Amino acid sequence: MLTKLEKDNLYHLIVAVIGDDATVKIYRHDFNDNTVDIVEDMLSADSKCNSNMRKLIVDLSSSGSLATKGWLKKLLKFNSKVIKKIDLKGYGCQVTVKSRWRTAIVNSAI
Amino acid sequence: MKYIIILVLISMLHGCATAPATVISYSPFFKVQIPHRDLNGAVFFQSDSISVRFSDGSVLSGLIIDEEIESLPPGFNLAEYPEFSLGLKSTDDLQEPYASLFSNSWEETKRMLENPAVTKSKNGNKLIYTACGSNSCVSFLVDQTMTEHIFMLSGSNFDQSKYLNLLSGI
Repeated sequence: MLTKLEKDNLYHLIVAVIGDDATVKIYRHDFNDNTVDIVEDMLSADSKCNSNMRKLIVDLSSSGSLATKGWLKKLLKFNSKVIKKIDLKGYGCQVTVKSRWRTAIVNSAI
Repeated sequence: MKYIIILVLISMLHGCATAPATVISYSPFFKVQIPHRDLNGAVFFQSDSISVRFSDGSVLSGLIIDEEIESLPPGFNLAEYPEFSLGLKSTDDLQEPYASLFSNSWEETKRMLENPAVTKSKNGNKLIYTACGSNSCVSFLVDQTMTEHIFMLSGSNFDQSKYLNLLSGI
């Protein structure tokens, strides 16, 4: 179960990565731990779509423990102001890739 | 957005050899037929386009791709989109940012599907490119009679034979 703050932070992070989307915005009310897992995978430092993700997460995370699954849930609790200001400088993959993530995010909240 | 107006056509085919199916029409050229036996407990939902979550948790999603949605350069041959996207054709001759977008997308698809096998087949007028991992697939379909748009179908948490069966009906 996510708090409203965590849901809002998660939504802002999604928007920062794959852009604003009316459907994702609507479904943010039902974001949950499955949504966090999907977004954590989307933000993987292994992804070529987010070349500056590793540096960003190191900057955001006081511990810098990127390798530990569950880092995003921790981040959502403590970095609300920072998350709203982040700029990922665009998603470096095709719209079709974004679309697959967006579908997974919405599906997690149904 | 012109293709986002989706018609879900219910076609009961009583008395025919074909199993009764519901049709999701993504465009006049790309229609997905879903057998009624698979629809019990299914949920249709909107993300970028129409998606279906079946009772076993598998999710099927389609998307029309054209120059506009991908902000491709004028004159880009959409029939080549699947080959660039699935690593079948080098992006060396493409200008930036298109070369990087395609190569990054292929790397991400490999990561998402855990090094999928890629196949190319033909069904009537349609060329079908499919990448399947252990439990998810993504396909790009090109109708050779027109180049205005192509179609992407993706299935996650899907039995591969069930996915390929749906794909063959498009």
